[in-house]
Amino acid sequence: MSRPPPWLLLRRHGVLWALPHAALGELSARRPATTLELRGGATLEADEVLGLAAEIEPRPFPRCARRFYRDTVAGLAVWRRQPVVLVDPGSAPPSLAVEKENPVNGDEIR
Amino acid sequence: MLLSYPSMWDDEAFKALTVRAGDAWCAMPLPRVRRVIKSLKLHPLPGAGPEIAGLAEVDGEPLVILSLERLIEAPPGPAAEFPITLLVEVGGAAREVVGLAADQPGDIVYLVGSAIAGPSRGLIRGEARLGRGLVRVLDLAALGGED
Amino acid sequence: MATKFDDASGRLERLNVLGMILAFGWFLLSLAVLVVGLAGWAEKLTALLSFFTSAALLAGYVLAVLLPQRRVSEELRAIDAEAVDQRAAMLEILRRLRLGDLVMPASELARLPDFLDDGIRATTAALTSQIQRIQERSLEVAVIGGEVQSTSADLASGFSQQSAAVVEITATIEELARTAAQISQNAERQAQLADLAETEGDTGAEAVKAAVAGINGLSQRIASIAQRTDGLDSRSKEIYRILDLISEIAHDTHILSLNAAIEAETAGEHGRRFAVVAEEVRRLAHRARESAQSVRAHLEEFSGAIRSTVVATEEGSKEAAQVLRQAQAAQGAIEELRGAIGATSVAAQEISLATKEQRTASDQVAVTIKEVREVIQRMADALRNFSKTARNLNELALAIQLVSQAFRFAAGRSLKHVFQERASELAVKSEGWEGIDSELRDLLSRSPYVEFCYLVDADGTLVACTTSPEWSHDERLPEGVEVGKNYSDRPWFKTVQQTRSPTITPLYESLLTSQQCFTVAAPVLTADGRQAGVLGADVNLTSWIRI
Repeated sequence: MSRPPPWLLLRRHGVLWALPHAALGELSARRPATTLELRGGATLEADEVLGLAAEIEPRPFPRCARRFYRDTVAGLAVWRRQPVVLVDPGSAPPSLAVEKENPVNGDEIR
Repeated sequence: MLLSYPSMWDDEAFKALTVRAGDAWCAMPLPRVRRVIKSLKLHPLPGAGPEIAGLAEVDGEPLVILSLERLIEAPPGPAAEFPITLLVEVGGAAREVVGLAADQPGDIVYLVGSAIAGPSRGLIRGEARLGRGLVRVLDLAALGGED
Repeated sequence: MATKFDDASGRLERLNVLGMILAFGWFLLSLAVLVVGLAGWAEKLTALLSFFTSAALLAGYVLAVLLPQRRVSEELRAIDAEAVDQRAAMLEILRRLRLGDLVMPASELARLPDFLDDGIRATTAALTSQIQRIQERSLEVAVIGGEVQSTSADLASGFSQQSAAVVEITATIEELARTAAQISQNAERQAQLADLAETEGDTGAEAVKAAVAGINGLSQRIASIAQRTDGLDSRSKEIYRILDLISEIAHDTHILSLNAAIEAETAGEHGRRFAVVAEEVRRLAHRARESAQSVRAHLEEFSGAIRSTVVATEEGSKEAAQVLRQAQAAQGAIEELRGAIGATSVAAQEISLATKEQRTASDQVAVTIKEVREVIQRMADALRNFSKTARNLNELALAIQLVSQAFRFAAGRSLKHVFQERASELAVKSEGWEGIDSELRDLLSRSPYVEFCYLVDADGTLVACTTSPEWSHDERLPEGVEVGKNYSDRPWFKTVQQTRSPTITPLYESLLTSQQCFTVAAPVLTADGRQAGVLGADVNLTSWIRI
């Protein structure tokens, strides 16, 4: 049995995000967004879940740019010639937080 | 790969690349410049400050692109016909490669450190007369993060 | 019927004849004697014959002529005396008649022969009747004349007003004719102007047509220019695209040169020649960029010119189209105008013709009205003359009435008779004239046509007078009249005193009412024929006529 790809790709606010697959708990589809429940208890929301990706090579977030971006990220990467922001499951950025105006309607996708 | 650079801000002339950001012309030491790229597609980074123009991919590597106009706090200038992105090395001993978004490429000029005048504040080392105008000489080492 | 005078005259005539026979006989006898004498033998016979004959003739003359003649003479003297008495009575009657008194006293008529008595009675009766009829008819004529005068005066006034109205109508007709003439002139002028306008309209239509053709041609040329301009614009856009491409290539070349310089800088000494190449490339890119900018600048000028030309051609095309629409509209308007002018010309000609006819008719009407006016004026004049004639007739009738009043006859219409009777009634009061005022007032009450009555004595002194309350509310006396004043110099007094019979004066203006009146005066005669006074009364003519 092969190991699943380590990253879950999703799009949120026009940006590609990558979440460690191991941190994922449950996925729920809540039109028009998708809710992701992490194992750590956090709940994220994505506009689109693109799927799993293995060819993610993390790169550190430049320190010189830290003063201009205070959210916690795990780094940066490129997927299919697009920049990807790597999510720290323990401290997801507010951009991925569930927005209150998107009510959860109960559908679940595993 | 890091290059060995001559000592800056002494009386020797050094090559610099001039670019326009907003309505200000800037000059940065040429050894700090890795590449000039045109028409780089930027992706937004939600939650970032205005100094971050976005994220980009260059040669398979993710890059954070900073807005040079915001960094030097230049007033808005003429619209950029061919905006460029400079891949530069910032920081002191520990250098990082970031992108600087500018409006217009200039030329490669020779500057003398002693000709740089004015107070040094943040990224701006000072100002130097170049032709009939003044250019802001940038100290990219000041843009680095914590060593 | 043979009268005494005729009998006497007849006898006298016979006596004269007898005398002539006797005389002739004497002549014959004498002749016979002469003959006998001549014969010589009968002298004695002759003398005897002569003697007897003479004696016979003489006796015959005395018996047959002289005595009868004396008797006849006595009869003639008696007849003559009777005739003198009758003549005196006749003269008295004639005197009365001359004074207009048709009331003959019976004593006078008795002195006349029966036939004269009858004749005079008949004559006076006939005259009275005629005069009464004359009075009545004259009154009728006076009344009618007055009415006719009044009516004709009203008619004359009405005709005068009509004439004035006709004058106004004439003036109006003349004004109408002048207006019609002016309208006709204006219409003719309008027709002329319409004809001229029609001609000008034709010219204008041709000009518009030419203008429309010219504008069409201009529009086509503008369209052609626009097409060529579009072509130029397209080419300039292509050139812009190429310039953009050149600029982009120059930019890319510049960036390439920069990157080359950067790489050369990284290469250090080994990259120096590469740096030179990069510098040349950078200059080349700069020149290309500057050339592109120069070309762009020129092209922008050219494009600006083209755009201006395009804008100008578009505006020109729009203006040409607008002018074309306006020209077409003008053409249509000119056509309509020509049609309207044509109709106007026709209408103006019709108006001119109609106004001419109207003027002719107005002239005829004016002539007719003038004739009518003349007729009216003549009628008014005739009415005025008629009114004058009626007035004259009225006056004549009144004059005839007054003339008829000159006669006295036993009737209520004879003022002389009426007032003579009144005067006779007053005779009994002639001694002192007591109660005369009441008598005068009684006279007024019975004679409503009397304004003022008065009594003067035989000397002409005013004894009493009274004013009728109907003619004077305050019973004031006429001006200048007062009891005790002498009026013997007045004509009415003198006439009455002279004729001892009533008299009527001519018309005069009353001092009391200022109306026409006349005076009736009658003598107050006592039983013994003495004139004790004169009764006078001022009669209102109008009131008398109405009565």
